[in-house]
Parts: sequence; C-alpha cells; structure tokens
Amino acid sequence: MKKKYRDLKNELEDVISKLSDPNIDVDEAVDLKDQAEKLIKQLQKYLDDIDTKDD
Amino acid sequence: MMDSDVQIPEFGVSDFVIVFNQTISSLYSRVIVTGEVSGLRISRGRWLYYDLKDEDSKIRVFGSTDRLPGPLENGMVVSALVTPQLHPQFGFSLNQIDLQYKGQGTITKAFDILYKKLAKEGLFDPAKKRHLPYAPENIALVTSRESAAYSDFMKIISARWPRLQIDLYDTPVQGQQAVDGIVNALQKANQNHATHEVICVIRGGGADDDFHAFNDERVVRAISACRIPTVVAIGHERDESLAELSADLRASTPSNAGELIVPDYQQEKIICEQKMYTIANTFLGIINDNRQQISRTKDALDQILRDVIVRERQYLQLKQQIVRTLDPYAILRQGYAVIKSSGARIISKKSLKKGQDLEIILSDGTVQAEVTGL
Repeated sequence: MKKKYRDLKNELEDVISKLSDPNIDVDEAVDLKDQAEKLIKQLQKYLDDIDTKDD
Repeated sequence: MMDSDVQIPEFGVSDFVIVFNQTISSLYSRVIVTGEVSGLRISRGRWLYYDLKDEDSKIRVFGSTDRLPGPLENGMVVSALVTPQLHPQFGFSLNQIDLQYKGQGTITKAFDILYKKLAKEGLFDPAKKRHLPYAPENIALVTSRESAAYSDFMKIISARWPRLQIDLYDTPVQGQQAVDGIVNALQKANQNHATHEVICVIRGGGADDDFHAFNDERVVRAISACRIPTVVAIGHERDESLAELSADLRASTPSNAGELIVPDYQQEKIICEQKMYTIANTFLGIINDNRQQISRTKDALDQILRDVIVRERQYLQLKQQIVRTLDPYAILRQGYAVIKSSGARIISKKSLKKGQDLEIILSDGTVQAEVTGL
C-alpha cells in the first residue's frame, strides 16, 4: 500500500535523528544515509507529481 | 338595549368561537408579535407556556421547545410567529410556530446562557481539542456549493495541495434551513469518519442574522460529536461563535482554513532539499570524525609498534650475550679440551685402556692421540 506523505516524512525525521547520534557506527551511518536519500527521493517524487497533476 | 335598526349577529358560545377563529384566520392566519417574555413555564420538558407583554397589554402564548432558537428566559424580548386562536376552554391565546430573539441584549443574553451551559458540559474544553493530521489525504467539507467561501477554500487548496480529496456536504449556511442542513451534513460526514481525516465547516462574511445557525445548540453539539478533528471558519469580524469554540481548530476565514489544513507543496520541496543538505553535511561530519579517529588510532598503533621493536631489540641483545656466554669454544679458548674415543666423550680415565685411540678437540682443531699409560 502506498505510504502517505506524512508517513514518509516521519520516517525521514527518524532516520536523520539516528544519523545525528554522536556514537553511531560508520557502517550503520552509511546504511542510514542511503535510507534517508531514498526517502527524500520518494518525497520529491510525491511533490513533483503534484506539480505535473492535471487540473 | 338593542336598536332594531342595527343588525347585530348573535351566536351560541361554541358557534361564536368557531366564527371568531374563522374570521381571525382569514385576516391573520399568521402574525408576528413582538414583546417581552414573562411568566415562562415549561411542562414535561417540551411544552412552553408564557406571556408576551408590553407596557399596556399581555397575551398568552403556547409553543414547544423544539422550535426555540436557544435558551428562553423571562425578560427576553422576542418576535414570535404565531397563529391567534380562541380556545373553547382556555380562552384567547397565540400558538407559537417560530421564535426569534429581538434586540442585541436578548441575543447576547441567550448566547451567554447557552455558552455557560455547554461550557459546563465540557464542549469547549481546550484539553479535549485534537490536533489535525499533517497533510491529510481526504477531508469532508460542509458548506454551500454556491458560496464565495467554497470557491475561496478550493482556490487555496488547489494552489497549496491539489492532491487533497475533498468530499463536499452541500448545505445552506444561513436562513431557516441552515441549522437542520448543517446538522444533517455533519452527521453524514461523521458516519464516513473512516474515509475522512478532517471535517471542515466554513462560511463567509454576512449580516449578524446570517450567523445564527453557528450559535445554535444542535449545530454546536453536532460538531462536538464528530469522531474526527474539526475545523470551523466563519469569515466575519466579530466575536467567536459557539460552533467555532466547540471545534478542534478555529480558522479566521475559509482561506485560512485551507492554509491550516494542508501544507504548501512548494515549501515542502524546499524543505526536502534542505533535508538533503542536512543529511549530506551530517554524513560528512561522521566521515571526518571517523577519519580523525582512524588517523589517531594509526598513530597510536605506529607508536606501539615502535615500542615493541625497541623492546624486542633489547631482548635479542640480551639473548645474544647469553648465547655468547654459553659458547663451548669460549671454554676451550681458556685452555680446556674435549676428549673423545670412538665418538664418545671421555670424562674419566676409568673408561680408558692402554693403547686406546683418542680424539682431542682443542679451540683451534682436533688432534689424534693414543693412551700410552694410566
């Protein structure tokens, strides 16, 4: 089921919060960075679809 | 007493009542009478009995509580839509069809009474206000399709978040049909609470009389009973209505309601880009921190290695000295010799015989010898 915009945003905030942990392991940081970039791309696509939506 | 030239109609009592009512009905089938309420009595929670009076006169009124615009108290000035009637037993009275408050004083008093009653029940309690969901996907909109409020609201949504699904519950928002219409619309929207995420009630500006529905107890209770968050926007420069007080969120205008319900997708794009920078910077920071840590660890390891090498060299030097000390040729160089016979070392003369061949190992070589005497 397609995720809602606000669910994607909440996930992104969660990932950023984990990435900001000063004790984070580098391997984990790499995974989180990839996750965050994927989430942002999904959010941007959602917004781009609004831009191109027919009236 | 009776002048025979004047035709004076004569009736029995009951006949007179009938004729009187027919006459009144033909002249004033419905009439509005304005006066001050006095002697108010409510029977069985349903039936109203009161007098409407002015400085000189007083008339009895009968009615029911379901046609009241709000609370009714002695002293209020009201305009009652009535049918005059002469009752066979109870005499002359007015049957109330509808009632409106007259004068700002009465309206304000009625508002205050209803406000206190509903506030006491907790309908306006700030602690019960719910938050709106962020970026909802579907909302219920209660308003008139023909109104400027509707077009203003739709314009804002179209500009900010056109993906929002809006289900319109079309209803008059002023006039006699407004209260029933708004209540029915809210109840229908509330039944579909699984589909909608917000219920929004809006209307634009107008005369004071146009807003009475939003101070009606039934409308306020219908809003309060909604199972999902509610937004009410009455676009008018005046005090808040009871409907707005009971909503989870009040907006100042229909346009403002649109702004509060959905984000602006252009702004969201900018926020996404900012998040991307934040992530990149945070990640670079982690890498840099790790680089520095790796560098420090490397330096520490190098130092440890150097220390180990120094220690090992010292150890080897010590061992070399011990080896040198234990070298057997060092003892031979002091003048000692090793004597062997047939490969076996001789350490006592007891194992020797006269004429036995011997090998004498000196520091600089080996000499062959023979036992000549013991």
